[in-house]
Amino acid sequence: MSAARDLRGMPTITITGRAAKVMRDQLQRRGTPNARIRFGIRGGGCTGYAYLFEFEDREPRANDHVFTKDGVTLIVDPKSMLMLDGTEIDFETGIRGHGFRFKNPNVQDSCGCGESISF
Amino acid sequence: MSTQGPSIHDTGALFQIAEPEERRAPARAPGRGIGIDLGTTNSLVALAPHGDDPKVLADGEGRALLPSVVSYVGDRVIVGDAAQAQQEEAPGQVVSSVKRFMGRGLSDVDFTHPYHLVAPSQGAGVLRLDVGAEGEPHLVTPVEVSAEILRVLRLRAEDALGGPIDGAVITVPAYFDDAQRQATRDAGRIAGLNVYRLLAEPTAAALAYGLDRGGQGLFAVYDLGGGTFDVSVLRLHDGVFQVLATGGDSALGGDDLDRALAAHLLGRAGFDETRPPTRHQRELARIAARAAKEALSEQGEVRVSVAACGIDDLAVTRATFEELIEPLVQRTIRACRAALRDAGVRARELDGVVLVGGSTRVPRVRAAVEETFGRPPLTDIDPDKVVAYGAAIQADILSGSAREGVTLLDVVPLSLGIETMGGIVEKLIPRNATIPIAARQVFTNYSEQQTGMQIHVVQGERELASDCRSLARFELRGIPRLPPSMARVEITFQLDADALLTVTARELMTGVRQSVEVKPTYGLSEEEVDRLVMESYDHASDDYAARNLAEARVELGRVALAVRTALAEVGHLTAILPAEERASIEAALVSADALMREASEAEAVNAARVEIERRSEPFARRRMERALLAGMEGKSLHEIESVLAAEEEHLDERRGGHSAEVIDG
Amino acid sequence: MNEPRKQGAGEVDYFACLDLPRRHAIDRAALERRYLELSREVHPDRFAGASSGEQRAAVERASLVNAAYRALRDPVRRAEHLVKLGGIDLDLTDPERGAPDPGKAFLIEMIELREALEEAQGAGAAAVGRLRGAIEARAEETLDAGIDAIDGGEVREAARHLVIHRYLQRFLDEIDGEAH
Repeated sequence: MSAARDLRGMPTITITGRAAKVMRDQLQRRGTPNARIRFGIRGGGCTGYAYLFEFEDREPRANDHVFTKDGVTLIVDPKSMLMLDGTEIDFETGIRGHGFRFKNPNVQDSCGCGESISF
Repeated sequence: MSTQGPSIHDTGALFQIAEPEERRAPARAPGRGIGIDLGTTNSLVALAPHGDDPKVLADGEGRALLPSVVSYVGDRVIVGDAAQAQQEEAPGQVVSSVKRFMGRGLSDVDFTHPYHLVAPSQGAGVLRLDVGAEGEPHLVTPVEVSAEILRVLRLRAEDALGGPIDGAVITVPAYFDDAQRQATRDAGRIAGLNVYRLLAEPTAAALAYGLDRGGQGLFAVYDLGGGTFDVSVLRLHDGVFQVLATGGDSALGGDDLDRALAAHLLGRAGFDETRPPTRHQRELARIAARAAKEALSEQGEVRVSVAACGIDDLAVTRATFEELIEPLVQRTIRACRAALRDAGVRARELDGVVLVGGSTRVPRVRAAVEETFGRPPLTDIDPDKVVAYGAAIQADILSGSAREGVTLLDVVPLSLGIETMGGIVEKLIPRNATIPIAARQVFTNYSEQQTGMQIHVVQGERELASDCRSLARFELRGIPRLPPSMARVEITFQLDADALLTVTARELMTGVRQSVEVKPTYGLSEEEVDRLVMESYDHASDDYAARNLAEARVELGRVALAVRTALAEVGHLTAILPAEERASIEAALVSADALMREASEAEAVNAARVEIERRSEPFARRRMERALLAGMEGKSLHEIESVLAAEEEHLDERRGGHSAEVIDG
Repeated sequence: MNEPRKQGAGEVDYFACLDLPRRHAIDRAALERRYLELSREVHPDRFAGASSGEQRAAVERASLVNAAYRALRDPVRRAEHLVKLGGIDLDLTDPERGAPDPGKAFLIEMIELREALEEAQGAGAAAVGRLRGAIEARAEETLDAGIDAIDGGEVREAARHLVIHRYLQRFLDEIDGEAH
């Protein structure tokens, strides 16, 4: 499950089968099986950037990047794409609970909790 | 470095899919935040909705202070005065001063208490109290006991607000360490509270005073609670409450004054090492000592009798009491001087000294504070309530009300660090650092064979880890085999605004990120808290249903009685009550009687009450008109108006609530 | 586990964080004012109703502001931060980017000071007090020399003075620790 740039040089986001299954499940439970999920980087402040990961009810915008996996659609805006290229989205369960994990090769530094990142 | 640690996960945070901004429900409910002072001896809940002045909520009998006492006698849990009343007969089953056990291990419990303690099975884990009757063990954790107290306060607030509350600010002693704070937060969760914030007690008191006085200046807060002592030095300017330093002792409080006096009483009654008092006798002596302490704040001498200890009309003078407590008072004074030094403030620069806690009523304590700070302390806000007031103000702000913003900059009371080679502590976050704050430090391997690293997180000021509080231990594994000092592991401490710690680690050479599960040494595990929260939901719905049913029965009984009284008095007058109407009302009363006996759900009982009210409303109206007419004959206008007003009040109170006493003929 | 080391890369400039010019002489009033302003803006309580992501971001921003204030408020920590921004981290043992060797002459001086302390402790509290005063004066001179070197742009030289200052300060703490 390496998350490298594909042969055509297009930016990639890898979604593991497990992550796709949970996303599909959560869209179903939300009652919006055809909605999308927006993945991005929100900017700012003294400490830099944070991940954005939320349901998206609107259609993708013209220059959004669109990824699909097992019937799930993930949307990334072009600016965020620069900082997310090659990221793998996985889903994990553990003692502390469960959730999606982003393995982002562009991240240089991260704060203790991993929520805030810098490039 | 070889013991088995908990498992390691790959990287940092786990994410959930969030709702987009515009679909998110408003996260707050302005005006529905409550402030709770969870005290060693007494607890309180206060409200200050929408910028109002804070008010402490009283129970049905007008008592604001809820004794922090929980009784497990029989199969019901009782909290407060009623529990306290059972303390003499079953001291081992009635838990008081549970705050002293919060976040503590067996070895920390060096004070006398009447409980049978059960140590956790493997050294770590949470301490339990056996509160069962003889031969019937019933284990509870201090967190659960505290949750019982919080639950009662929550229900009290829900009654006052007429519905669910949004969240709570719970106060903790400033000197509470991470484990004690975590335990308090867990207790809040188990009691069904959304804990907005843990607020340091002296900071809460300063908030209550500061807002009262225009919010400028340098203040010291001397807080002698039931089981804890805190002192904080704060600077207030332009809406910012900046704690400059805090100090204290989380195992010294007003209870110790009682214990010192109790030991003296027992000594005078002839108890010593060769003839030690039973736990029961010790507890009775302590209860008597507390009453004596309170009396000695008002008078110079008190006479004490405790039959079970053979103490009969023993005289204790204030001078004797002051002599007994002097070492304890001096300990608090040393902490005050240290806090001033840490804050870089001289006593004479202060604009005021605030007293908090019931034991600051002791004259010797007041005098010592006055000597130390060179000025008479401020006592115009009730020292028992001032902390709850401050908590309520902060809760109001955090609930999102339009109250003018106040920013509280609090500090961490004790340094946080990691044990390094030789048991020496490397401090990552120093005491009195303003929170939130983060710190990171890189540690290296000492040999190529080392593929794991034992991390021991401690809190305290001492150089050796063994002299500090152990907060957590975990092992990092999967460190690559590298020459000594080449493997590098970065440890990050993040302290949030509640002074609660999160620790993460990552290996820098290979870039492999490891987040670690930090298992609190003396705390409940996440699973245990989750289980208790779930259980409390189950109980909560049971409790709630039972309470609703009981209330519905009372209401139905009240309405039925009022209608029956009215029927007996004027029911025979067909001008007021036509026969078919009377039959209809009586039928409703008969089915109500059946429901009173059999109903198991509040809804059915309430429906029956509403039905009686509906059917009897015309009767009630006609009866009132008649009463008014009858009443007006030969009475002054003033009297008629007051009858009218009284009747309207009754109508407002309960539609169809028939008041027999207005009818006089 | 060996002695701690810190990572040098990606140093945050605390002066920039609090909008202050990067130099040792600072305007204390401006520091306090800016700190309080920023605290009001970024304190997590201000984000009580925000999304969990924003709340976490607030905790981090506030953590940074608090760390910056702590570092800049104290003249020693301020000097050490300037040296760190200049590429030398006193918490590292790295010969290039870490704390410089204080020099053999100074290590000999420390040994002599320890002997002097033992002697003073034998002679009584007044003697200890006199020695303490002398060491304190020496520490202050050292800090001043370090600050002068920072102002003159000589980072390495500044770092050497600051390392010596740390030794002296620790020695003073030891004397105070034994006193009570």
